[in-house]
Amino acid sequence: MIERVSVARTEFIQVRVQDDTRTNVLMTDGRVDEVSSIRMKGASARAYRNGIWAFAAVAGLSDKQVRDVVSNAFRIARFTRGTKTRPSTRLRLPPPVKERVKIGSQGELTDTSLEQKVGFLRDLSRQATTHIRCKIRTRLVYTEKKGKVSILDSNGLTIEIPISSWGLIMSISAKKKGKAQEVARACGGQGEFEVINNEKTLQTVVDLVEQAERLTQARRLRSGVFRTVLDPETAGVIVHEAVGHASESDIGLSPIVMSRKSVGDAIASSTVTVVDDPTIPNLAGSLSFDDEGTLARQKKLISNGRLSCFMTDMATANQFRLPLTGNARCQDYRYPPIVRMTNTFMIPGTWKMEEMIEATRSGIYLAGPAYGRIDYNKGVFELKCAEAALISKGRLTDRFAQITAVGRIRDTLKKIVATGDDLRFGQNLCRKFAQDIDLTIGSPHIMVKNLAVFG
Amino acid sequence: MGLVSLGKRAVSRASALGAEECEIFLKDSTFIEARVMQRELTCRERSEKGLSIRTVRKMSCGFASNDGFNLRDIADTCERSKNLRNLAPPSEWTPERPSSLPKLSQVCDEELQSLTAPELMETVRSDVKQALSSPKIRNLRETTILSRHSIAVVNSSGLNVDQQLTSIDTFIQVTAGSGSKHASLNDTISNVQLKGHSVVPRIIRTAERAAKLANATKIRKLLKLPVVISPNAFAKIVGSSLALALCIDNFDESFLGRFFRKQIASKSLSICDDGTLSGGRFSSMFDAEGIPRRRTVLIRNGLLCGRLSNVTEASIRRMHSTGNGNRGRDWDHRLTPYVGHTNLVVEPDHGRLDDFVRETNRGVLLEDLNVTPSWSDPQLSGSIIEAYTIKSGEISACIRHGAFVIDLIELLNGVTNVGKEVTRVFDTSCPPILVSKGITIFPA
Repeated sequence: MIERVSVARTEFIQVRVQDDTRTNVLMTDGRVDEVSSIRMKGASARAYRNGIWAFAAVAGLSDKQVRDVVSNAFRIARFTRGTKTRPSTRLRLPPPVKERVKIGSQGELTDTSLEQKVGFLRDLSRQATTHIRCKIRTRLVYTEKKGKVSILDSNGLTIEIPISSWGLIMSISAKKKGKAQEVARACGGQGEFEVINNEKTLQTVVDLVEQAERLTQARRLRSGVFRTVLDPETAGVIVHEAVGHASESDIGLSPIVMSRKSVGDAIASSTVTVVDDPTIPNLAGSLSFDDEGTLARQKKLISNGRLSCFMTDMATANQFRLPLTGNARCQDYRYPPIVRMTNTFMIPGTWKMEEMIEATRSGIYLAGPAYGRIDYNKGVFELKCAEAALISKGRLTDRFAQITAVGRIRDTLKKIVATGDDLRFGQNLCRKFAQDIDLTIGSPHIMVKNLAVFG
Repeated sequence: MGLVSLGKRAVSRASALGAEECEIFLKDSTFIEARVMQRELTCRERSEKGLSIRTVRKMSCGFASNDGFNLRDIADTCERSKNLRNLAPPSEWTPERPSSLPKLSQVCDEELQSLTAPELMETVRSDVKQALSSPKIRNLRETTILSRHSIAVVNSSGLNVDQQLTSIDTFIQVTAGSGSKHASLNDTISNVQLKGHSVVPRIIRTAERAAKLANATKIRKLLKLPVVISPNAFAKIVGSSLALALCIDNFDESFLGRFFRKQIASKSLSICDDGTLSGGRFSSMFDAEGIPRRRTVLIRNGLLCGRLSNVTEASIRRMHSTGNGNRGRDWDHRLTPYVGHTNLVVEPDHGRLDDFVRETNRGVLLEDLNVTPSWSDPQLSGSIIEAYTIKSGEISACIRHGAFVIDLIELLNGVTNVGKEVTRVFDTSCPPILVSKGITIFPA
């Protein structure tokens, strides 16, 4: 059918078929609030004609529904004809692949029963309450996803990719003397359930409880511009927001952030090398092929401070005449693939964290959990982290709660003066153009010369 | 077969599998999206059908959902819901009995109901062409999404309700300025398009604001001054903190937990949640659990007097649902109903924004902010998108590179005047506000 439509009416058509089942467990204070099973099945089709992409999606996988979605994509492509302003360019496509990705290549959720998984969540809740010294609430959300995605296109691509992933969000809210604080941390990946069923996860919950309690009594920071040391979690957010998003060709190639000519320019200090690598196994952003069927590969986004490349999908690679990097990802069949990060991290340097603190006469230490956002209009990122400590004469002193840091992307990257030797990965749920996807961020400790910090 | 008939069939199937009680949620939605980027117009179309089932047996509740409506989907969903029941704890949830629904004429617009994708694209194309003829605009990105939903809730207690909903949202990003100085601003317009209202004047206004922003001056020092807050900025403050803290599942742990039935704001401030607001973005006859939407007063003359709940959370606390069971903006059948606000309304009082500016000898007009949501901490912080200094009762310079910290309780108590001209900002209807204290602005 794809062949028939494409030959007759479009230059290119791609169909994506998804069928998976997600299981969610929501537990509050050791009590299961909800266990749910969600079946997602549907198909989407993208057609390229006269330089325009058209997209249609439908729930359900009957023959008729899949036929209809292809016809709809074609219909939309037909009536969008003539609206474009650029001359039509012939679409550059990746080499066709016919492959069934083996599930073992990305790890598999074992046959651990749901009862055992719920039991583990209860252990985590118990662990939290054994360290209780104030009123706390523990919320745990476990999610797992199993299924498969098939991608076919008129260029001869036929690919079947298994889906097998899990995620765990641990959220602790503490209240002491009328003051409330909440901290949350997410982990996830594509490995076996045993990856989280261990002492490290139990310790994470204890750390979160202690941190939430500590923050209820923490002071507020006065605003200012400080020499700042960021822990791997908060530094990872800067890598994600300031480097990752700025290197996505659909965002980064705006006059406010960067231009295509910026490749090769020094946009960060020479200590900064950032990589996007989907080929690392079992992380949240690990892929064999992206959601357009392009082979996923490692790429350096910044190499020793110089912009190396922009991440692309088929549409932007074609539009900006850039190489295809295999970064097309979509939330599910309802959305078209757009340029997204996978596992994005900063290459570690040589500094020890203690050396960074000692080298700082006066400054701020920022610690996670953290999250951030980028303002595309202004080329500014914002970072919100749970905790900070004052650095005075090379020592950590007073603690502060709920800190925000704001910086201009280009300025901040150039002010990174040291990178640590302690690379750590973390899972991140990223929202872009109304699509949520899981990915990995990673960084060692970093030191930034001047960062506007307030709380 | 209609959605209600399908729902009744699913109830029978669930009962046959041993469910003592059950609730079926069904939706059939279509979305048409027209987007202009780099002066290219593209279109997307999406159709979503699905159902979800909550079943209870021996006090245990299971939830399952499926994309599709055929009988095999229904049987599969009932089976999975049944299999999960033994894992869940004793449930307080019981399906609601039928009750009368509010009569709303604005939730389904005939013009939107019949609009086709080519027609929507033509409207967007014409709007963009008209807007781009303005010399002020350097670049324009526009995405217009038309959503049409058919929703039904059927349960084993005899509830069977259905409704048709339509909505239209336009998201714009306008770049304006001259020479090397240019700036971009975002804006969202909901449910006013097509009905004789064009988005072009709003695009031009946003462009004018962006042009001012392009020539903004940097904030050099910390400012702790009286602040005039525009409807746009106050809507973000209310939506990202107060509304979250007032959801019953967050309330006890939130910063408002100890203030119930206490004065938390100045007497001039009243806020309510109104799921029946005429033309409101989230108005509907019933919520995601089939409960009639209603108006819930949250703050009356500064007194905290209301909270939001759904059936599940209300049952746990031996309360009644306020009809605030949500399943996301697009009535997602994959989500279990959670507590969330509908349309927030800050009640107007008297006075105009211009008067507030005139009354302020030295202060700041906050036009737009980036606020990080928080329900646990009354301290909000973020970056300023658009603000102006006020000198001798007049708007002076546009300022940039600013950040803010708000102590929400202090700010609510510091409200000295509430305006009378209400602006609808997506899901919040809000007048301008004059605040004497509670906000610190500083360079970033």
